[in-house]
Amino acid sequence: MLTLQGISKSFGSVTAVKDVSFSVNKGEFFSLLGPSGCGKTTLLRIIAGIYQSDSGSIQLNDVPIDRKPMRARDTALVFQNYALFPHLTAFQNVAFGLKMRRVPREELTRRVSEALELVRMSSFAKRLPGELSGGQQQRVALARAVVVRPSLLLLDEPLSNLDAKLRDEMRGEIRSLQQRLGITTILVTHDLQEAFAVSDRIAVLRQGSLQQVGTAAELYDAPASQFVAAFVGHLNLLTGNVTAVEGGNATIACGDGLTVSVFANARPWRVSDMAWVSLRPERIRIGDANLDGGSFDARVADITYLGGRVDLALAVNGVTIRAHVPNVGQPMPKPGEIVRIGWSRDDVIARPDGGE
Amino acid sequence: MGSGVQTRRLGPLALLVPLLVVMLAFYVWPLIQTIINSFHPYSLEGIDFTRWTLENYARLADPFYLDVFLRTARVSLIITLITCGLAYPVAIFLTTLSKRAQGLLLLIYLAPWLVNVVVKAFGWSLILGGNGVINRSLRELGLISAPLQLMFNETGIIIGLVQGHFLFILLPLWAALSALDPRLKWAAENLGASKAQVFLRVTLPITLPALLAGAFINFTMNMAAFATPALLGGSRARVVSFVAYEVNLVELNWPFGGALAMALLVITLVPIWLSRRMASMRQARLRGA
Repeated sequence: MLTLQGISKSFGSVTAVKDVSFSVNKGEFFSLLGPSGCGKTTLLRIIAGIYQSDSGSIQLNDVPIDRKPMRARDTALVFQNYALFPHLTAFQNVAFGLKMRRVPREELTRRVSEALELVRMSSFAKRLPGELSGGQQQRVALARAVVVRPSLLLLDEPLSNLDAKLRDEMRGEIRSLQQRLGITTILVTHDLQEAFAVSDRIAVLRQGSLQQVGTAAELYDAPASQFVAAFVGHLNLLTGNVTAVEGGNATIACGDGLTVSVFANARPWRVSDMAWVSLRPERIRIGDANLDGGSFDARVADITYLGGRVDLALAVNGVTIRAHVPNVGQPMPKPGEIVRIGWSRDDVIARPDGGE
Repeated sequence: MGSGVQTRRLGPLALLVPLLVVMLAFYVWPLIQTIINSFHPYSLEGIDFTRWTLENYARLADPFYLDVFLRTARVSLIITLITCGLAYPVAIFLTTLSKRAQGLLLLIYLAPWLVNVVVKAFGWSLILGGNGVINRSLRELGLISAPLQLMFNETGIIIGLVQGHFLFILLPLWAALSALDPRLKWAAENLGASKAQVFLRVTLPITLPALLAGAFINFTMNMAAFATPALLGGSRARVVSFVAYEVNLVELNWPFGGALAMALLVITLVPIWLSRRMASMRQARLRGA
């Protein structure tokens, strides 16, 4: 449906996008995720035609669109600040794209009304953008984009200007709207929860390069790099040296003698190479005597009670390990107490470190 | 303590007194005097302060003076329209440049303001005169046989004032265009608008208030201009300010001169009042019913 091949873009001496390639399937909700300045908005604007890429090609519905002007690309972009025309009413804003396409008056009125209904803004049709709240402007911007029935809907951080409660609500609405219309959508966001909640697949960007593309589960359970692991919320990221590789397992020594045993999984482990290890907080077991991934005595440094879950900071052999323990009524350790912690090999993610 | 607060409040106000005195003595009082004069009859013996009359205002309806008022309004409007047309492309061009280049070019546009209007008008006469740069060049190129009349008519006034009052439209327009969010233009193009449609449906309507504000200022400046129309139009293309000058300082008929001045003031205030009304109506609309 949409295919990007080796897209690069520089502004002066700054490389904003570096050799990015990926494909989006028809009807898919695809997210570009990364910290601010990672090039995700630039990439979206290249797809929309606001910027020209320096190299690479983009195909939409098997047709190259690199040379097409913005207005002939059949994409509809929702801007972070909505960019509603301040001098036009909500109705006129939504009608803009149809007017440009010379849709006959009757059909135009019908389609605009439908679009406003879709985002539950019918009663605000005559208001100017300045008379609408942020959430309402957001809805009008969405209606303005989908009413032209684009091949591709592009959303540039559409929720970042809304307060937390409204953001959760709109997130659900955008997802259900996308599902109902079956419209192929690319969302740009820096918010992990947002990307995880709405996307079929996610591309993680860092400093203009693509790090990994996959479903939320793939990114979380099998991050390709330490950066991706950190970005998707892995809190215990350790680096160490490989001390042994035998019997399908590798042993990595982190910190001050914290050795972790992991499945080798046919990865190129070599003794004395560097490696990174992720011990996800929710997979740390407390009180278990011996587990095959590693077991240690740890001192409870800090406890944060969050209701359904209790977060522990544990000091083990010179490193701090964070553990998230579900609150199911078991006795909780006290600060300063020594507890036995461990993890099984199944729960550990580890990779030889390619110098990332 | 209480008197201390009092002094502190009055202190800054005291600084306004010198200017207030000057304004009252040399601006407000003569203006009132002019208004009073305009309601008294005039004869060769002087102003008759014992009688009140409207005859000075009735005389404005004389075809000669009506013609002068019409010419002034027409020329002023033409200048404003030409300036709008010329300033828009310049303002758009400016916004495409770097901040540094914008500052430099604006400075160049501002530079003529450092030159006295009378000096500028004489400069124009070197260019526009029968033996001026333009006519000589055209004659030597064989394009014309007799010199074009570019001065001592409405053309001369228009040329001089389009240049003279250009900034009053350029500056507000440039400010409005600079503040225009580029994403609005992208959004329009993304929705299928051509470059021309983006201008007509987004850029123009959004910057129209600034253009109108500039146009109203420009128009009132054109109406009130004296030196440029006097030197480039002269007695063959009289405008109100020039006639008022002749009546006041040559004929020394202050009552009728006062009536001319008052009429010009009232006519010039109309567009200012109109623009304020339009601005407040728009504000009310944008703020919400």
